[in-house]
Parts: sequence; C-alpha cells; structure tokens
Amino acid sequence: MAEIYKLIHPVKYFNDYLSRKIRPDGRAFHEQRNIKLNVNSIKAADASAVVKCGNTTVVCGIKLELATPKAEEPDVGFLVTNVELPPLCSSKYRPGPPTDSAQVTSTLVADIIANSKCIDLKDLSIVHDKLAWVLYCDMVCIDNDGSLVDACIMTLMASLKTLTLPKVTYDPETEEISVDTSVRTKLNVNGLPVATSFALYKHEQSNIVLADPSSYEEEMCGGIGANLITCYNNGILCGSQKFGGCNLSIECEEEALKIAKERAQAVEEVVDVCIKNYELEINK
Amino acid sequence: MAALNKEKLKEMGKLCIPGMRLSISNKENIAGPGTYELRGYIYATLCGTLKIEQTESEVRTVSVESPRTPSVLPKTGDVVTAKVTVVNPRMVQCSILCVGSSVLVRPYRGILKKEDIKATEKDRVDPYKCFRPGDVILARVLPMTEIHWYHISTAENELGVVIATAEGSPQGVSMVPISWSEMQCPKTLVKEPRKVARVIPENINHALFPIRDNSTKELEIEADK
Amino acid sequence: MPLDYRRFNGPEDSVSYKRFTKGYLKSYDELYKESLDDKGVRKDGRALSEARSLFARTDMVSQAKGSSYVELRKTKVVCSVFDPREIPHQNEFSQLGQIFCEVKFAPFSCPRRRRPHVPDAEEKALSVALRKALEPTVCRHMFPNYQVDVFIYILENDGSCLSAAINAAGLALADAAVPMYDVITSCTVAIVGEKMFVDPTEAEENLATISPSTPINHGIITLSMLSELKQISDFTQVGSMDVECVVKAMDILDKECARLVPLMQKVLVANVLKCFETRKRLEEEANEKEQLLNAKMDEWKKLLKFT
Repeated sequence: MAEIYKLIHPVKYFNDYLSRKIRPDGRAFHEQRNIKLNVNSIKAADASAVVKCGNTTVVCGIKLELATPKAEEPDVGFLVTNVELPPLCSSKYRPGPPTDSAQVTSTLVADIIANSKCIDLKDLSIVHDKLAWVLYCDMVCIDNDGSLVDACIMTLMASLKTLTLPKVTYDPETEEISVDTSVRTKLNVNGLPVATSFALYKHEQSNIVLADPSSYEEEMCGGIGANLITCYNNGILCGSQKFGGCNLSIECEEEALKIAKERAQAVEEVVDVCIKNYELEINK
Repeated sequence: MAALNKEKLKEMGKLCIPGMRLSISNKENIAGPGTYELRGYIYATLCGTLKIEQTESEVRTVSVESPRTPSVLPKTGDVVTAKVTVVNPRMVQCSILCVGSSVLVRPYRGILKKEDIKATEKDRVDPYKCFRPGDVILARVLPMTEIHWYHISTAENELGVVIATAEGSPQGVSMVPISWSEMQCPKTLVKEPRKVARVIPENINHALFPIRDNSTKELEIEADK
Repeated sequence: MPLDYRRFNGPEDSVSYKRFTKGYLKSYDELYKESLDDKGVRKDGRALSEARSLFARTDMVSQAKGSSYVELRKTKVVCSVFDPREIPHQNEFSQLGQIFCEVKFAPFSCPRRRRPHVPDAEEKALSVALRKALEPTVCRHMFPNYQVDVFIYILENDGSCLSAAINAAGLALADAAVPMYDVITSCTVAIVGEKMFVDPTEAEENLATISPSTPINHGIITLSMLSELKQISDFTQVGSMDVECVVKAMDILDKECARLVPLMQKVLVANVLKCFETRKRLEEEANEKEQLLNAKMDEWKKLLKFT
C-alpha cells in the first residue's frame, strides 16, 4: 500500500515525510549513512578498496603500468581515473558506452583529485624523459544508491593509500628495464580529500539540505546525482559543485559546508583505522 | 537460529524453491500460479511459500506465493492501475504502474481505445470528457494483440478514474466524485467530467483482492536442509 | 585502435610492469610443475578433485530486482537481474521471452593484463554461453515479447568464471522471482593430459589452454545442470581431447554440480525467510500509514459536508 502511494503521489509522499522532519529511509536531514570500508580484497589488482555507504557500493582497483612520459612534461607520471557505471548497478543504465552522467561523474572525480593535489605526479616519474608510472584507477559502481562521488573518492583514496610501487632499475645504455617486486615503496599521499554530497529541496517556502542523499532522494530533488558536492582536503575546500535542484541560500550553504567539514574528519578516521588494521594484518 | 526459525516457519507455511516437487498432478490437484506441471507432478517455479486452496469440492489448486512481486507481466483479465499520459480523440495512452496490489518496477505501456472506455453508448464517447493526462485509473487488461502495448478496458462500473486533479488546482489535491461522470475539486470547487470508477473504498486493493484464508496443509517443514 | 573519447585514456605505449619482472616468461614444464607438485597437490593446497568452497549470497544490489554475489576464493562475481522490459527494435510477435546476458570483466580483474573497457571477444563468448545455459531454465513463455536482463560483473577472475557466473545468475533470477523450472548449478574442469583439475584457478586454466609440444588431451569443460530434472542445460568445451576423456570429465562434473545443489537451496531458503521478514515489517508500516490516511479522509468528508 505504501509503495502504491509512493508511486501514484510521488511528491505528496515525499513531502509527507519531510514535513515530519524525517526522510523516507528513517534518517534525520543531516544524518549520513554508515560507511563500510575494506582494502586490498582484490588480489589481481595492485591496490584495491571496496566501500559501502549505505547501499551505495563502489570498488576501486589500481593497475600499475610503465610508459614513457610526455615530451612536454618529462618529469611527470600519469594518474588515469575512470568511473564505470555498469548497467547492473541501477535500472537507469543500459549496456553500451558510458552515459553522459557517467562521464560527468568521471570528470568530477578526476577534477577533485587534481585540485586537491593529494598526489604529486612528479612522484610517479622514474627516469627523466624515459620512464614513468601510469596508475590506472578504475572505480566500478556495483550498487548506485546515491552520493556516488563520495563513495568513489573514498575508495580511490583508500586504494592509493595502500598502493606500493615496486623498485625499477633502468639501464640508460641498453635501455633495459627490470622490476624487483620484493622491494616496494609506498606512494606519497598528501592528505585525504573527502567529498560530501547534498540534495537540496524546497519544501513549504524553506530550503532543506539533505546530507548523503539516496538515489530516490536525488531523483525527487530533480537532479541526476546529487545537487551539491563539496570536497575538503586537510580542512581546505578543494572543490564545490552545484547541479540543479532548488536555489541555495547562504545559510544553507554554510550549513552544508559545516557538515562536509565534519564528515571529512569522520571519513579520514574511518580510512586511517581501516588501513592501520590492514597493515597490522600483513605485518603479522 | 534453527529453533527461532521454526516458529516463524510455522507461521509462513511450507517453503518452496524452484524445481521442488510439490504434489501429484491429477483431477484433484491443479497447478496454480508459480508452479508448472511435468510428467504427472507439480513443481515450483518460484521461491516462496506453498499455498493449497480448495477451490471446488475435491479440487485443490497448488500454487506458490512469492514474497516479491513475481517478474511476470500483466495478464489478460488482471486489474491494473495506470497513469494517463496521452489523450486523443481515438484513444487514451497510459503507463501501467501496478498489477493488482503489486507495484511494477518498470511501467508498461497501455492503450485504452475509445470503444473500450464505456460499456454503453460506445460510439458517443469522447475521450476528453473521460480522462485527462495525469489521471490515475483502474482498468482491466484485454488479450494482447500488439507487441509492447497492452490493450486495456474501463467498460465496467468499477473501473475508471480514481484519482484526478482539476485544472488549476495545486498538485496533490484530488477531486472528489460527485456523480458517475463528474468530479469536483474540494478546494477550488471546479467541476470536471470524468469516467469515474464507482466506489473508492479506503483500501482499494483489499477490496479487489481479498486476502483469502489460507488453508495451508500442515506438512513437514524442512527448515535447515 | 580508435581512441575512446568518453573515458580518460592513459599513454598508448604503457605496458604492465610485470613484463619486466624476473620469471615473467615460463616454459610449459615449469608452469606444469608450479600447478601440480609430485604428490598431486595443487598450488593452493587442494587435491585434484577438490573444488574451492563456494560462498554465495543474494540481495547484493539494492537497485536491482534480484541480485547475487558468488565467490570461489579469489574469483568474485556480482549478478543483477531486472524486470522484463521491451525488446528494442523488435517487430515480430514472439511467444517466448528473451534473456539478455552481459558479462563484463572489471578492468583490474585479471592478473595478467588490464582489461579494456570496450567489450572484447571473451566477454561476448561468455555472454552467449551464459544465455544458452539460462534459456532452458527460465519459464520464458511467461513473458512473451519481453526480455529479462541478466548482468554479470566479474570483479576478480581466478578461473571458473563461467560456472561462477551461471551459479550467480541462477540465484539472482530466483531472487528476482523470475519463474524457473529448476535450480541451476555449474562447474568447470581443466584437463591437462591424464590430470583433471576440478574448479581450476586462472593459472591452471591457462595451462590447459596452451597446446603442448606432444599431442595430449588438454582443454576446459564447463557443464551446467538442472539437478531435479536431470538435464544438462549447457556444455562448453574448449581444447582438444578424446571421447573417453570427455565422458570421464562429464561424470566428475555431474557429481560436482549435484554437490552444489544443497548449498544453493540453503541460500535460497535464507533469502525467502529474509524477504518475508521485510515484507512483514513493510506491511506493519503500511497499516500505520493507512490509519493516518483514514483519519484524514474523515476530516475531508466532514469538511465537504459543511460546504
């Protein structure tokens, strides 16, 4: 019965909840979903992480490759990030090339990572103008239940933090490359960017900010994906995007930024604890 | 865990999974929904619970009830809930949202031809005076003759518009039926013509699909196989 | 190769660092020795006839109608199934519904190389094999003119992908309440000479596909069964082997498939129990809401009487 009501009167159903100061899944407006994180569960990848924010599940795997750097930037390596939204993660997607929304998400994640300066691409250089690392980071969404960018950034950062680069020796005369996998160095990661998504909804003349929206809420708020995405790294704002939804008042924005800042700390803690546990386990 | 489940199981009845042999198929036992017949036996096709119904004297229908909406399509004769999308002089197009009491994950397209709107005076029906886009209607599924389009009919007193909003009224304010062909908005008092479904009981689906007393046979339950 | 404009691409000349590690290229004998030691124990400690333990669960993807997750140690497969939908570009009336299968490897799923984003021949072949295996299982006459989508995503490939995919698809279809004739189970065997590796890993599959210098039996066989009906729904064989070998392998696979049935049944029973619980909870909530609605209705009725 409730489902039928939701289908026939979608707006009324949503408003009914909001007027009682609760969201359809039982959360308060600013409450976020639980985060579950697991690192290095995929052994075929050089580093990997699985994150679950509520129902949203994203798997990230990193594959290492070697290549010659670009002639114009001989000291710089490559960080290639892609977000895949396969048709199995939601009924909205069809098999075939990436949809527009997948491309937008991909670009957004790449921008956030580039803007936060958490990875210095010079660290990926091995030999000037001859050899550099290529980090292929593929984030695959298994279950898309909203706030996709948050989950993508989180799993990407968790994988990057566990990534180790094997030692490479390059003979300049013979141009021979040899890799020693027994000696590995950790990749330098500066800080931990954390993205937080919000949905904005106009309800009875007032704006409501919903933190960590589910896909249903995102849809009701009239956007493909979240309406507002803000990203913090080390307490510094490194990206803020607004897509559709209702207009944003100054109070709402301040409110959202505060939540995002708090969340950044919480997520950092989760990632740190998870990686620490993992390192303890492998050192055993 | 097992002990805890036992009690729950008693309440639910016998569990079935696809391929499970349920009973002999003969004159007394007929295969119902969620089952199929093969070489004289009835087997389950769904995960769910076993339901045995005494339809007539001596005849029992064996069926499996799934806790989820079965992934099958609307069948001929089903009553469906649909939302009107297009109205033109010859027909009404709509998207089917629910079958009986179960919500469809994906809407299917339906067509309501002009002659299927009313049972009487079929030629003088004007679709505009019966439906408007956005109305929620109850209809019955007719035999399928076209791929991807379900033909539906509202030529019954109980079928027709159940929820409609008058022009100019705010979203979410539904009109109230005042006769079999008119509805009125309680807020703006605008009257609009519609093909109204006769009664709107508070619990539509319970009235249409009464939950029958399930005379489940007390069979041995294999809980933790 | 044409450039993929919809994704970020790395440099064209990039190669995996594993190519430059010691022992990248190994001879056939070395590979064989690595897979199986003198005592007949495999690299991961299993006996030849021992399959990996299967972990399976349903309800993996909240957005899908039905979904499942199957793990064979390192092989990890996610499957989701959606409600029937219209078949695009179809204009003929067909009595039987169709099953659309898509198998996709994650770019990081294979230990040897990075998988391309665009579908390759292996994925296509797996998709077709999966569709053929599922077609006899599903009651296709229940949804004429429509198709059911089955999507498989392989997160990590450590051999026996096809059988893991078939097992996962069977569970997901049952979870989605798609009518099926029977529970489907599947198993793979890799054959190298006289030895039969049940439930092979990726390295063992690789070994079985290399043709050795001396002509011996080698190849991979995947079999899927409908156990209650005693029917074989799919049989896929790659490689060359004699008839006795195939018969022997089928015997082994038959037993392995039967062994998996109780496990699948257990997962499905647990799934039904869980579904009933959620439904009960939803019903309670709905009742509460209905009461509220009724109260509101009365209010409205009173208002109407006044006017």
